[in-house]
Amino acid sequence: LTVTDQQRAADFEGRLEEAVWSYSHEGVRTFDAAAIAAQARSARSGVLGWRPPMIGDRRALRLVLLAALVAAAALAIALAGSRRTDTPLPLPGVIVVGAGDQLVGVDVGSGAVQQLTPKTPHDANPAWSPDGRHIAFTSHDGRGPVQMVDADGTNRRVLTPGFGAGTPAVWSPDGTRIAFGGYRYPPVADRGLWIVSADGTGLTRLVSSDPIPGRLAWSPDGSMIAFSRGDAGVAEVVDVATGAITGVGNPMIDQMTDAAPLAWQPGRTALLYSRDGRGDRHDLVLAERTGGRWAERPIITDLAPGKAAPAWLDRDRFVFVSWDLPPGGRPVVARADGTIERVLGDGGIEPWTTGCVAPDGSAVAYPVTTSVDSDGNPSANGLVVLPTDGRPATRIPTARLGSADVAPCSWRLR
Amino acid sequence: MTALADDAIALELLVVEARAGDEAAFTRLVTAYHEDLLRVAFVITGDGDMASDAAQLAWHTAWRKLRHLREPSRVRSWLVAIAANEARQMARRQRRRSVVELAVGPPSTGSEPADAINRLDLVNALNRLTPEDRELIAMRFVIGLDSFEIAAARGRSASGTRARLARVLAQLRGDLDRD
Repeated sequence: LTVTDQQRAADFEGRLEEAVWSYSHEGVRTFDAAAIAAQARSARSGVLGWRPPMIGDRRALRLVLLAALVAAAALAIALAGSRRTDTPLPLPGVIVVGAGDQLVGVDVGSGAVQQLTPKTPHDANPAWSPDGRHIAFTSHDGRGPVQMVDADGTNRRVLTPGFGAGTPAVWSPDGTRIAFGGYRYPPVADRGLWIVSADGTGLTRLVSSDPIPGRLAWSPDGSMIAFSRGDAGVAEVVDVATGAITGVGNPMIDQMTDAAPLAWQPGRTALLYSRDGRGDRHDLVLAERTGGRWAERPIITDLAPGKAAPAWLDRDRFVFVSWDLPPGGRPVVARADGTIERVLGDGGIEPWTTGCVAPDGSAVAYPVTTSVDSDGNPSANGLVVLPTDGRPATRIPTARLGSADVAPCSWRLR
Repeated sequence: MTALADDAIALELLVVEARAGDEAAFTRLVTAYHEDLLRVAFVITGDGDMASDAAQLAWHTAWRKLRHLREPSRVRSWLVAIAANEARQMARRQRRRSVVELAVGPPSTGSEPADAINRLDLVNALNRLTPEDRELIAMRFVIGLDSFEIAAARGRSASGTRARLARVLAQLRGDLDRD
Protein backbone atom coordinates (compact mmCIF):
# COMPACT_ATOMS: atom_id res chain seq x y z
CA LEU A 1 0.00 0.00 0.00
CA THR A 2 1.17 3.49 -0.76
CA VAL A 3 0.85 6.24 1.80
CA THR A 4 -2.09 7.60 -0.13
CA ASP A 5 -3.79 4.23 -0.11
CA GLN A 6 -3.23 3.96 3.63
CA GLN A 7 -4.65 7.43 4.17
CA ARG A 8 -7.68 6.60 2.06
CA ALA A 9 -8.22 3.36 3.98
CA ALA A 10 -7.96 5.18 7.29
CA ASP A 11 -10.31 7.86 6.06
CA PHE A 12 -12.81 5.23 4.98
CA GLU A 13 -12.64 3.49 8.36
CA GLY A 14 -13.30 6.81 10.05
CA ARG A 15 -16.35 7.47 7.93
CA LEU A 16 -17.52 3.87 8.38
CA GLU A 17 -17.21 4.18 12.14
CA GLU A 18 -19.35 7.31 12.13
CA ALA A 19 -21.95 5.69 9.89
CA VAL A 20 -22.13 2.43 11.84
CA TRP A 21 -22.32 4.26 15.16
CA SER A 22 -25.12 6.45 13.86
CA TYR A 23 -26.95 3.46 12.39
CA SER A 24 -26.64 1.46 15.63
CA HIS A 25 -28.51 4.19 17.43
CA GLU A 26 -31.67 3.09 15.61
CA GLY A 27 -31.62 0.00 17.85
CA VAL A 28 -31.50 1.99 21.07
CA ARG A 29 -34.76 2.18 22.95
CA THR A 30 -35.64 3.53 26.32
CA PHE A 31 -35.48 0.72 28.84
CA ASP A 32 -36.24 -0.08 32.44
CA ALA A 33 -33.03 -1.59 33.81
CA ALA A 34 -34.73 -2.95 36.92
CA ALA A 35 -37.36 -4.73 34.84
CA ILE A 36 -34.76 -6.19 32.48
CA ALA A 37 -32.64 -7.38 35.39
CA ALA A 38 -35.66 -8.87 37.15
CA GLN A 39 -36.72 -10.73 34.02
CA ALA A 40 -33.19 -12.03 33.48
CA ARG A 41 -33.07 -13.34 37.04
CA SER A 42 -36.52 -14.84 37.17
CA ALA A 43 -36.72 -16.48 33.76
CA ARG A 44 -36.95 -20.21 34.22
CA SER A 45 -33.74 -21.79 33.14
CA GLY A 46 -34.16 -23.24 29.72
CA VAL A 47 -37.23 -21.30 28.68
CA LEU A 48 -35.10 -18.52 27.37
CA GLY A 49 -31.80 -20.24 27.08
CA TRP A 50 -32.53 -23.53 25.39
CA ARG A 51 -33.30 -23.75 21.71
CA PRO A 52 -33.66 -26.69 19.42
CA PRO A 53 -30.95 -27.17 16.83
CA MET A 54 -31.41 -24.82 13.92
CA ILE A 55 -32.05 -26.08 10.45
CA GLY A 56 -30.89 -23.04 8.61
CA ASP A 57 -29.54 -24.49 5.43
CA ARG A 58 -29.18 -27.65 3.44
CA ARG A 59 -25.93 -28.63 5.06
CA ALA A 60 -27.43 -28.32 8.50
CA LEU A 61 -30.40 -30.40 7.38
CA ARG A 62 -28.08 -33.05 5.99
CA LEU A 63 -26.15 -33.14 9.21
CA VAL A 64 -29.28 -33.36 11.29
CA LEU A 65 -30.39 -36.31 9.19
CA LEU A 66 -26.96 -37.88 9.63
CA ALA A 67 -27.18 -37.28 13.32
CA ALA A 68 -30.59 -38.93 13.35
CA LEU A 69 -29.04 -42.01 11.74
CA VAL A 70 -26.33 -42.09 14.37
CA ALA A 71 -28.97 -41.71 17.03
CA ALA A 72 -30.99 -44.53 15.48
CA ALA A 73 -27.94 -46.79 15.44
CA ALA A 74 -27.55 -46.19 19.13
CA LEU A 75 -31.27 -46.40 19.78
CA ALA A 76 -31.41 -49.67 21.63
CA ILE A 77 -28.67 -48.66 24.02
CA ALA A 78 -29.84 -45.10 24.27
CA LEU A 79 -33.40 -46.12 25.03
CA ALA A 80 -32.20 -48.50 27.67
CA GLY A 81 -30.29 -45.66 29.26
CA SER A 82 -32.62 -42.85 28.51
CA ARG A 83 -35.04 -42.89 31.38
CA ARG A 84 -34.09 -40.29 33.89
CA THR A 85 -34.29 -41.28 37.47
CA ASP A 86 -33.47 -39.73 40.78
CA THR A 87 -32.59 -43.09 42.29
CA PRO A 88 -28.93 -43.02 43.34
CA LEU A 89 -26.61 -45.07 41.22
CA PRO A 90 -24.51 -47.89 42.55
CA LEU A 91 -21.44 -45.86 41.68
CA PRO A 92 -18.56 -45.23 44.01
CA GLY A 93 -16.99 -41.94 44.98
CA VAL A 94 -17.67 -38.39 45.99
CA ILE A 95 -18.18 -35.50 43.62
CA VAL A 96 -17.26 -32.10 44.93
CA VAL A 97 -18.94 -29.23 43.19
CA GLY A 98 -19.18 -25.50 43.64
CA ALA A 99 -22.86 -24.83 44.20
CA GLY A 100 -23.70 -21.20 44.67
CA ASP A 101 -20.94 -19.80 46.83
CA GLN A 102 -19.94 -22.95 48.66
CA LEU A 103 -18.34 -26.30 48.03
CA VAL A 104 -20.65 -29.26 48.30
CA GLY A 105 -19.72 -32.94 48.38
CA VAL A 106 -22.11 -35.40 46.76
CA ASP A 107 -21.88 -39.10 47.62
CA VAL A 108 -22.69 -40.64 44.28
CA GLY A 109 -23.74 -43.98 45.74
CA SER A 110 -26.23 -42.67 48.25
CA GLY A 111 -27.05 -39.26 46.84
CA ALA A 112 -26.20 -37.71 50.21
CA VAL A 113 -25.00 -34.11 50.04
CA GLN A 114 -22.56 -32.55 52.48
CA GLN A 115 -21.73 -28.86 52.69
CA LEU A 116 -17.94 -28.53 52.81
CA THR A 117 -17.39 -24.78 53.03
CA PRO A 118 -19.57 -21.89 54.22
CA LYS A 119 -21.71 -20.06 51.71
CA THR A 120 -19.17 -17.29 51.34
CA PRO A 121 -16.92 -16.12 49.85
CA HIS A 122 -17.54 -17.47 46.37
CA ASP A 123 -15.84 -20.83 46.59
CA ALA A 124 -15.78 -22.62 43.27
CA ASN A 125 -13.73 -24.61 40.80
CA PRO A 126 -12.86 -27.44 43.20
CA ALA A 127 -10.27 -30.06 42.31
CA TRP A 128 -9.51 -33.21 44.30
CA SER A 129 -5.86 -33.87 44.98
CA PRO A 130 -4.69 -37.09 43.27
CA ASP A 131 -4.68 -38.90 46.62
CA GLY A 132 -8.21 -37.69 47.43
CA ARG A 133 -7.16 -36.14 50.74
CA HIS A 134 -7.45 -32.44 49.82
CA ILE A 135 -9.52 -30.13 47.66
CA ALA A 136 -7.93 -27.13 45.94
CA PHE A 137 -10.31 -24.39 44.86
CA THR A 138 -10.43 -20.81 43.76
CA SER A 139 -12.81 -17.99 44.32
CA HIS A 140 -15.10 -17.30 41.41
CA ASP A 141 -15.08 -13.56 42.00
CA GLY A 142 -11.91 -13.43 39.91
CA ARG A 143 -9.85 -12.02 42.74
CA GLY A 144 -9.54 -14.81 45.24
CA PRO A 145 -6.36 -16.70 45.82
CA VAL A 146 -5.90 -20.43 45.49
CA GLN A 147 -7.11 -22.11 48.64
CA MET A 148 -7.30 -25.61 50.02
CA VAL A 149 -9.35 -27.64 52.46
CA ASP A 150 -9.10 -31.21 53.62
CA ALA A 151 -11.55 -33.73 52.21
CA ASP A 152 -14.08 -33.08 54.97
CA GLY A 153 -13.96 -29.29 54.50
CA THR A 154 -11.74 -28.59 57.51
CA ASN A 155 -8.27 -27.02 57.73
CA ARG A 156 -8.94 -24.24 55.25
CA ARG A 157 -5.78 -22.42 54.17
CA VAL A 158 -4.74 -19.87 51.55
CA LEU A 159 -1.90 -20.94 49.27
CA THR A 160 -1.42 -17.70 47.34
CA PRO A 161 -2.20 -14.63 49.46
CA GLY A 162 -2.28 -11.41 47.49
CA PHE A 163 -3.31 -13.14 44.29
CA GLY A 164 -6.27 -13.18 41.99
CA ALA A 165 -6.87 -16.55 40.43
CA GLY A 166 -8.93 -16.52 37.33
CA THR A 167 -8.91 -20.09 36.23
CA PRO A 168 -9.38 -23.38 38.03
CA ALA A 169 -6.36 -24.73 39.79
CA VAL A 170 -5.01 -28.01 38.47
CA TRP A 171 -2.95 -30.54 40.38
CA SER A 172 0.29 -32.07 39.23
CA PRO A 173 -0.17 -35.82 38.81
CA ASP A 174 2.01 -36.53 41.85
CA GLY A 175 -0.06 -34.16 44.00
CA THR A 176 2.87 -31.99 45.07
CA ARG A 177 2.10 -28.82 43.08
CA ILE A 178 -0.77 -26.76 41.72
CA ALA A 179 -0.84 -24.69 38.54
CA PHE A 180 -3.22 -21.80 37.99
CA GLY A 181 -3.73 -18.83 35.75
CA GLY A 182 -3.66 -15.73 37.88
CA TYR A 183 -2.26 -12.35 38.74
CA ARG A 184 -1.19 -10.34 41.73
CA TYR A 185 -4.00 -8.24 43.15
CA PRO A 186 -4.37 -5.40 43.98
CA PRO A 187 -3.38 -3.83 41.71
CA VAL A 188 -3.51 -6.27 38.84
CA ALA A 189 0.03 -7.25 37.90
CA ASP A 190 2.11 -10.18 36.71
CA ARG A 191 -0.57 -12.00 34.78
CA GLY A 192 0.48 -15.48 33.80
CA LEU A 193 0.66 -19.19 34.46
CA TRP A 194 1.84 -19.78 38.00
CA ILE A 195 2.89 -22.82 39.99
CA VAL A 196 2.79 -23.25 43.74
CA SER A 197 3.63 -26.20 45.94
CA ALA A 198 0.75 -27.80 47.80
CA ASP A 199 2.11 -26.40 51.06
CA GLY A 200 2.08 -22.84 49.68
CA THR A 201 5.80 -22.52 49.07
CA GLY A 202 7.70 -22.15 45.81
CA LEU A 203 5.35 -19.70 44.12
CA THR A 204 6.73 -19.25 40.59
CA ARG A 205 5.49 -17.65 37.41
CA LEU A 206 6.19 -20.15 34.67
CA VAL A 207 4.69 -18.18 31.76
CA SER A 208 4.00 -14.47 31.43
CA SER A 209 0.65 -14.05 29.68
CA ASP A 210 -1.98 -11.34 29.33
CA PRO A 211 -4.74 -12.44 29.12
CA ILE A 212 -4.19 -14.95 31.85
CA PRO A 213 -3.98 -18.54 30.61
CA GLY A 214 -7.03 -20.72 30.54
CA ARG A 215 -7.72 -24.37 29.96
CA LEU A 216 -4.79 -25.59 32.00
CA ALA A 217 -3.98 -29.29 31.84
CA TRP A 218 -1.01 -30.98 33.49
CA SER A 219 0.41 -33.84 31.44
CA PRO A 220 0.04 -37.34 32.93
CA ASP A 221 3.82 -37.69 33.32
CA GLY A 222 4.04 -34.32 35.10
CA SER A 223 6.62 -32.84 32.76
CA MET A 224 4.38 -30.43 30.81
CA ILE A 225 1.41 -28.13 31.22
CA ALA A 226 -0.88 -27.39 28.28
CA PHE A 227 -2.64 -24.03 28.23
CA SER A 228 -4.13 -21.36 26.04
CA ARG A 229 -3.78 -17.62 26.39
CA GLY A 230 -7.22 -16.43 27.34
CA ASP A 231 -10.26 -17.99 25.82
CA ALA A 232 -8.86 -18.66 22.39
CA GLY A 233 -5.69 -19.12 20.49
CA VAL A 234 -3.24 -21.83 19.78
CA ALA A 235 -2.73 -24.52 22.36
CA GLU A 236 0.69 -24.24 23.89
CA VAL A 237 2.70 -26.58 26.06
CA VAL A 238 5.27 -25.41 28.57
CA ASP A 239 8.01 -27.64 29.87
CA VAL A 240 7.72 -27.41 33.65
CA ALA A 241 11.44 -27.91 34.24
CA THR A 242 12.80 -25.47 31.66
CA GLY A 243 9.93 -23.09 30.91
CA ALA A 244 10.34 -23.75 27.17
CA ILE A 245 7.09 -23.20 25.29
CA THR A 246 5.92 -25.07 22.20
CA GLY A 247 2.89 -24.27 20.05
CA VAL A 248 0.75 -27.31 19.41
CA GLY A 249 -1.42 -26.69 16.37
CA ASN A 250 -4.06 -24.49 14.83
CA PRO A 251 -6.21 -22.12 16.89
CA MET A 252 -8.78 -23.75 19.12
CA ILE A 253 -12.26 -22.54 19.56
CA ASP A 254 -15.09 -22.45 21.99
CA GLN A 255 -17.45 -19.90 23.35
CA MET A 256 -16.84 -20.34 27.03
CA THR A 257 -13.47 -20.81 28.58
CA ASP A 258 -13.92 -23.79 30.80
CA ALA A 259 -15.93 -25.79 28.30
CA ALA A 260 -13.13 -26.19 25.80
CA PRO A 261 -10.55 -28.15 27.66
CA LEU A 262 -7.23 -29.37 26.56
CA ALA A 263 -7.44 -33.04 27.46
CA TRP A 264 -4.26 -35.11 27.74
CA GLN A 265 -4.73 -38.66 26.55
CA PRO A 266 -3.72 -41.02 29.36
CA GLY A 267 -0.51 -42.84 28.66
CA ARG A 268 0.43 -40.77 25.61
CA THR A 269 1.82 -37.36 24.76
CA ALA A 270 -1.32 -36.31 22.95
CA LEU A 271 -3.90 -33.57 23.46
CA LEU A 272 -7.58 -33.60 22.53
CA TYR A 273 -9.39 -30.32 21.82
CA SER A 274 -11.88 -28.66 19.51
CA ARG A 275 -10.98 -26.31 16.69
CA ASP A 276 -12.54 -24.68 13.64
CA GLY A 277 -13.72 -27.03 10.95
CA ARG A 278 -15.35 -26.25 7.64
CA GLY A 279 -17.71 -23.30 7.61
CA ASP A 280 -19.15 -22.81 11.06
CA ARG A 281 -18.57 -26.42 12.04
CA HIS A 282 -16.18 -27.70 14.65
CA ASP A 283 -13.73 -30.59 14.64
CA LEU A 284 -12.31 -32.61 17.51
CA VAL A 285 -8.59 -32.94 17.00
CA LEU A 286 -5.98 -35.17 18.59
CA ALA A 287 -2.54 -33.57 18.50
CA GLU A 288 0.34 -35.90 19.19
CA ARG A 289 3.96 -35.03 19.82
CA THR A 290 6.56 -36.96 17.92
CA GLY A 291 10.06 -35.89 18.75
CA GLY A 292 9.89 -32.14 19.21
CA ARG A 293 6.94 -31.53 16.90
CA TRP A 294 3.20 -31.73 17.26
CA ALA A 295 0.98 -33.11 14.53
CA GLU A 296 -2.79 -32.61 14.53
CA ARG A 297 -5.19 -35.33 13.43
CA PRO A 298 -8.92 -34.58 13.18
CA ILE A 299 -10.75 -37.55 14.64
CA ILE A 300 -14.37 -36.37 14.67
CA THR A 301 -15.28 -33.67 12.17
CA ASP A 302 -18.19 -31.49 11.10
CA LEU A 303 -19.73 -31.05 14.53
CA ALA A 304 -22.32 -28.41 15.29
CA PRO A 305 -20.87 -25.42 17.12
CA GLY A 306 -21.13 -25.76 20.85
CA LYS A 307 -19.22 -26.75 23.93
CA ALA A 308 -17.78 -30.12 22.99
CA ALA A 309 -16.09 -30.35 26.39
CA PRO A 310 -14.06 -33.49 25.64
CA ALA A 311 -12.73 -35.54 28.56
CA TRP A 312 -10.91 -38.87 28.52
CA LEU A 313 -12.52 -41.86 30.24
CA ASP A 314 -9.50 -44.12 29.86
CA ARG A 315 -6.59 -44.61 27.48
CA ASP A 316 -8.80 -45.18 24.46
CA ARG A 317 -12.23 -43.67 25.14
CA PHE A 318 -13.39 -40.12 25.69
CA VAL A 319 -16.71 -38.37 26.15
CA PHE A 320 -17.82 -35.17 24.49
CA VAL A 321 -21.07 -33.27 24.01
CA SER A 322 -22.57 -33.38 20.54
CA TRP A 323 -24.93 -30.58 19.55
CA ASP A 324 -26.09 -32.41 16.43
CA LEU A 325 -28.17 -34.87 18.40
CA PRO A 326 -31.68 -33.69 19.27
CA PRO A 327 -33.06 -32.58 21.63
CA GLY A 328 -30.21 -30.26 22.52
CA GLY A 329 -26.74 -31.47 23.42
CA ARG A 330 -26.05 -35.10 24.30
CA PRO A 331 -22.87 -36.67 25.66
CA VAL A 332 -21.29 -39.19 23.32
CA VAL A 333 -18.68 -41.82 24.15
CA ALA A 334 -16.13 -42.20 21.38
CA ARG A 335 -12.84 -43.96 20.80
CA ALA A 336 -9.54 -42.34 19.98
CA ASP A 337 -9.91 -43.39 16.34
CA GLY A 338 -13.17 -41.42 16.13
CA THR A 339 -15.53 -44.39 16.36
CA ILE A 340 -18.75 -43.50 18.15
CA GLU A 341 -19.43 -46.04 20.87
CA ARG A 342 -22.53 -44.80 22.64
CA VAL A 343 -24.89 -41.85 23.07
CA LEU A 344 -25.69 -41.11 26.70
CA GLY A 345 -28.73 -39.74 28.47
CA ASP A 346 -32.00 -38.32 27.33
CA GLY A 347 -30.71 -35.13 25.81
CA GLY A 348 -30.95 -31.52 26.69
CA ILE A 349 -27.57 -31.45 28.38
CA GLU A 350 -26.25 -27.93 28.46
CA PRO A 351 -23.00 -28.24 30.34
CA TRP A 352 -21.67 -25.09 31.89
CA THR A 353 -18.32 -26.64 31.72
CA THR A 354 -16.44 -29.86 31.21
CA GLY A 355 -17.97 -32.85 32.88
CA CYS A 356 -16.07 -34.54 35.66
CA VAL A 357 -15.17 -38.12 34.92
CA ALA A 358 -15.07 -40.85 37.52
CA PRO A 359 -11.44 -41.89 37.86
CA ASP A 360 -12.32 -45.39 36.64
CA GLY A 361 -14.15 -44.00 33.60
CA SER A 362 -17.42 -45.62 34.68
CA ALA A 363 -19.46 -42.41 34.63
CA VAL A 364 -19.38 -38.73 33.85
CA ALA A 365 -21.17 -35.93 35.68
CA TYR A 366 -22.27 -32.64 34.20
CA PRO A 367 -23.40 -29.54 36.00
CA VAL A 368 -26.32 -28.59 33.78
CA THR A 369 -28.32 -25.44 33.49
CA THR A 370 -30.94 -26.76 31.15
CA SER A 371 -32.33 -30.17 30.62
CA VAL A 372 -35.26 -31.50 28.65
CA ASP A 373 -37.70 -34.03 30.00
CA SER A 374 -39.29 -36.82 27.97
CA ASP A 375 -41.97 -34.43 26.77
CA GLY A 376 -39.40 -32.04 25.42
CA ASN A 377 -39.96 -29.44 28.11
CA PRO A 378 -37.06 -27.70 29.79
CA SER A 379 -36.74 -28.89 33.35
CA ALA A 380 -34.86 -28.05 36.49
CA ASN A 381 -31.11 -27.95 36.49
CA GLY A 382 -28.61 -29.54 38.81
CA LEU A 383 -26.00 -32.23 38.48
CA VAL A 384 -26.56 -35.14 36.09
CA VAL A 385 -24.54 -38.33 36.50
CA LEU A 386 -24.38 -40.56 33.43
CA PRO A 387 -22.86 -44.06 33.54
CA THR A 388 -20.79 -44.59 30.42
CA ASP A 389 -22.16 -48.12 29.97
CA GLY A 390 -25.60 -46.78 29.14
CA ARG A 391 -27.30 -47.34 32.46
CA PRO A 392 -29.91 -44.75 33.47
CA ALA A 393 -28.79 -41.32 34.57
CA THR A 394 -29.12 -39.90 38.04
CA ARG A 395 -30.03 -36.31 38.61
CA ILE A 396 -28.91 -34.56 41.77
CA PRO A 397 -31.58 -31.87 41.87
CA THR A 398 -30.98 -28.25 42.51
CA ALA A 399 -32.90 -28.37 45.76
CA ARG A 400 -30.50 -30.93 47.21
CA LEU A 401 -27.41 -29.03 46.12
CA GLY A 402 -28.71 -25.84 47.67
CA SER A 403 -28.19 -23.75 44.58
CA ALA A 404 -29.08 -23.69 40.92
CA ASP A 405 -25.71 -22.16 40.21
CA VAL A 406 -23.50 -25.18 39.88
CA ALA A 407 -19.88 -24.81 38.85
CA PRO A 408 -17.26 -27.30 37.68
CA CYS A 409 -17.03 -30.54 39.58
CA SER A 410 -14.33 -33.01 40.50
CA TRP A 411 -14.76 -36.72 41.22
CA ARG A 412 -12.75 -39.05 43.40
CA LEU A 413 -13.25 -42.69 44.18
CA ARG A 414 -13.46 -43.83 47.77
CA MET B 1 -21.88 3.43 28.35
CA THR B 2 -22.24 5.33 31.60
CA ALA B 3 -19.68 6.97 33.83
CA LEU B 4 -19.95 3.98 36.12
CA ALA B 5 -18.63 1.72 33.41
CA ASP B 6 -15.64 3.99 33.01
CA ASP B 7 -14.63 3.53 36.62
CA ALA B 8 -12.66 0.29 36.55
CA ILE B 9 -12.54 -0.26 40.29
CA ALA B 10 -16.20 0.49 40.88
CA LEU B 11 -17.07 -1.73 37.97
CA GLU B 12 -15.00 -4.60 39.26
CA LEU B 13 -16.69 -4.39 42.64
CA LEU B 14 -20.05 -4.23 40.93
CA VAL B 15 -19.36 -7.43 39.03
CA VAL B 16 -18.20 -9.15 42.19
CA GLU B 17 -21.35 -8.07 44.01
CA ALA B 18 -23.59 -9.14 41.14
CA ARG B 19 -21.82 -12.48 41.05
CA ALA B 20 -22.56 -12.94 44.70
CA GLY B 21 -26.27 -12.49 43.93
CA ASP B 22 -26.65 -8.79 44.62
CA GLU B 23 -29.68 -7.87 42.51
CA ALA B 24 -29.10 -4.13 42.78
CA ALA B 25 -25.58 -4.54 41.48
CA PHE B 26 -26.86 -6.59 38.56
CA THR B 27 -29.40 -3.89 37.77
CA ARG B 28 -26.61 -1.34 37.71
CA LEU B 29 -24.74 -3.49 35.21
CA VAL B 30 -27.85 -3.47 33.04
CA THR B 31 -28.01 0.32 33.34
CA ALA B 32 -24.37 0.62 32.33
CA TYR B 33 -24.31 -1.73 29.37
CA HIS B 34 -27.78 -2.34 27.99
CA GLU B 35 -27.41 0.35 25.36
CA ASP B 36 -24.17 -1.23 24.13
CA LEU B 37 -25.95 -4.56 23.80
CA LEU B 38 -28.86 -3.01 21.91
CA ARG B 39 -26.53 -1.26 19.47
CA VAL B 40 -24.48 -4.34 18.71
CA ALA B 41 -27.53 -6.58 18.37
CA PHE B 42 -29.15 -4.05 16.05
CA VAL B 43 -26.17 -3.92 13.72
CA ILE B 44 -26.22 -7.71 13.53
CA THR B 45 -29.97 -8.21 13.11
CA GLY B 46 -31.05 -4.92 11.52
CA ASP B 47 -34.25 -5.16 13.53
CA GLY B 48 -35.08 -3.24 16.70
CA ASP B 49 -37.38 -5.89 18.15
CA MET B 50 -34.87 -8.66 17.60
CA ALA B 51 -32.13 -6.50 19.05
CA SER B 52 -34.22 -5.92 22.13
CA ASP B 53 -34.93 -9.65 22.50
CA ALA B 54 -31.27 -10.51 21.98
CA ALA B 55 -30.20 -8.07 24.67
CA GLN B 56 -32.77 -9.47 27.10
CA LEU B 57 -31.62 -13.02 26.40
CA ALA B 58 -28.06 -11.90 26.92
CA TRP B 59 -28.86 -10.64 30.39
CA HIS B 60 -30.51 -13.93 31.22
CA THR B 61 -27.36 -15.78 30.16
CA ALA B 62 -25.15 -13.28 31.96
CA TRP B 63 -27.03 -13.74 35.24
CA ARG B 64 -26.57 -17.50 35.03
CA LYS B 65 -22.95 -17.46 33.93
CA LEU B 66 -21.47 -14.43 35.58
CA ARG B 67 -19.32 -16.69 37.72
CA HIS B 68 -17.48 -17.85 34.62
CA LEU B 69 -16.21 -14.36 33.89
CA ARG B 70 -12.61 -14.64 34.97
CA GLU B 71 -11.64 -10.99 34.86
CA PRO B 72 -14.35 -8.61 36.06
CA SER B 73 -12.60 -5.68 34.40
CA ARG B 74 -13.47 -7.25 31.04
CA VAL B 75 -17.18 -7.55 31.67
CA ARG B 76 -18.14 -5.23 28.83
CA SER B 77 -16.66 -7.28 26.02
CA TRP B 78 -17.97 -10.44 27.69
CA LEU B 79 -21.52 -9.08 27.75
CA VAL B 80 -21.27 -7.79 24.21
CA ALA B 81 -20.10 -11.20 23.01
CA ILE B 82 -23.09 -12.88 24.65
CA ALA B 83 -25.52 -10.41 23.08
CA ALA B 84 -23.83 -10.78 19.70
CA ASN B 85 -24.16 -14.54 19.97
CA GLU B 86 -27.88 -14.24 20.64
CA ALA B 87 -28.30 -11.74 17.81
CA ARG B 88 -26.39 -13.97 15.41
CA GLN B 89 -28.63 -16.90 16.14
CA MET B 90 -31.70 -14.74 15.60
CA ALA B 91 -30.33 -13.40 12.34
CA ARG B 92 -29.61 -16.92 11.14
CA ARG B 93 -33.11 -18.05 11.99
CA GLN B 94 -34.49 -15.17 10.03
CA ARG B 95 -32.52 -16.52 7.08
CA ARG B 96 -31.19 -14.10 4.57
CA ARG B 97 -32.83 -10.76 4.77
CA SER B 98 -34.05 -9.00 1.68
CA VAL B 99 -31.80 -6.15 0.70
CA VAL B 100 -34.69 -4.45 -1.04
CA GLU B 101 -36.96 -4.78 1.95
CA LEU B 102 -34.49 -3.37 4.45
CA ALA B 103 -33.23 -0.67 2.17
CA VAL B 104 -36.40 1.26 2.89
CA GLY B 105 -35.42 3.43 5.80
CA PRO B 106 -35.72 6.97 7.10
CA PRO B 107 -34.89 9.51 4.43
CA SER B 108 -31.62 11.35 4.62
CA THR B 109 -31.85 14.62 6.51
CA GLY B 110 -29.62 16.24 3.97
CA SER B 111 -27.41 17.54 6.73
CA GLU B 112 -24.69 14.89 6.43
CA PRO B 113 -21.25 15.83 5.16
CA ALA B 114 -20.81 15.28 1.45
CA ASP B 115 -18.43 12.35 1.98
CA ALA B 116 -20.54 10.69 4.67
CA ILE B 117 -21.60 7.13 4.00
CA ASN B 118 -25.25 7.03 3.01
CA ARG B 119 -27.40 5.13 5.47
CA LEU B 120 -29.21 3.09 2.86
CA ASP B 121 -25.95 2.13 1.21
CA LEU B 122 -24.63 1.08 4.60
CA VAL B 123 -27.70 -1.05 5.35
CA ASN B 124 -27.45 -2.78 2.01
CA ALA B 125 -23.74 -3.35 2.44
CA LEU B 126 -24.23 -4.77 5.92
CA ASN B 127 -26.95 -7.06 4.62
CA ARG B 128 -24.50 -8.52 2.16
CA LEU B 129 -22.31 -9.60 5.08
CA THR B 130 -22.86 -12.70 7.18
CA PRO B 131 -24.13 -12.21 10.73
CA GLU B 132 -20.64 -13.16 11.93
CA ASP B 133 -19.08 -10.40 9.86
CA ARG B 134 -21.68 -7.87 11.01
CA GLU B 135 -20.71 -8.88 14.54
CA LEU B 136 -17.10 -8.05 13.75
CA ILE B 137 -18.09 -4.63 12.44
CA ALA B 138 -20.26 -3.94 15.47
CA MET B 139 -17.56 -4.93 17.94
CA ARG B 140 -14.97 -2.85 16.11
CA PHE B 141 -16.91 0.31 15.35
CA VAL B 142 -19.71 0.38 17.92
CA ILE B 143 -17.90 -0.95 20.98
CA GLY B 144 -14.43 0.09 19.86
CA LEU B 145 -12.69 -3.21 20.60
CA ASP B 146 -9.39 -3.94 18.88
CA SER B 147 -8.79 -7.19 17.04
CA PHE B 148 -7.18 -8.83 20.05
CA GLU B 149 -10.15 -7.98 22.29
CA ILE B 150 -12.60 -9.11 19.63
CA ALA B 151 -10.75 -12.39 19.27
CA ALA B 152 -10.81 -12.98 23.00
CA ALA B 153 -14.50 -12.13 23.24
CA ARG B 154 -15.46 -14.39 20.34
CA GLY B 155 -13.18 -17.25 21.27
CA ARG B 156 -11.12 -16.94 18.09
CA SER B 157 -7.49 -16.36 17.31
CA ALA B 158 -6.26 -12.76 17.10
CA SER B 159 -4.48 -13.34 13.81
CA GLY B 160 -7.55 -14.91 12.25
CA THR B 161 -9.71 -12.07 13.52
CA ARG B 162 -7.36 -9.46 12.07
CA ALA B 163 -7.41 -11.20 8.71
CA ARG B 164 -11.18 -11.56 8.71
CA LEU B 165 -11.66 -7.93 9.71
CA ALA B 166 -9.39 -6.82 6.89
CA ARG B 167 -11.38 -8.83 4.37
CA VAL B 168 -14.69 -7.47 5.64
CA LEU B 169 -13.41 -3.89 5.55
CA ALA B 170 -12.17 -4.43 2.01
CA GLN B 171 -15.59 -5.69 0.99
CA LEU B 172 -17.34 -2.76 2.64
CA ARG B 173 -14.93 -0.32 1.08
CA GLY B 174 -15.66 -1.82 -2.30
CA ASP B 175 -19.38 -1.41 -1.67
CA LEU B 176 -19.34 2.01 -0.06
CA ASP B 177 -16.22 3.92 -1.04
CA ARG B 178 -17.05 4.96 -4.57
CA ASP B 179 -14.60 7.82 -4.80
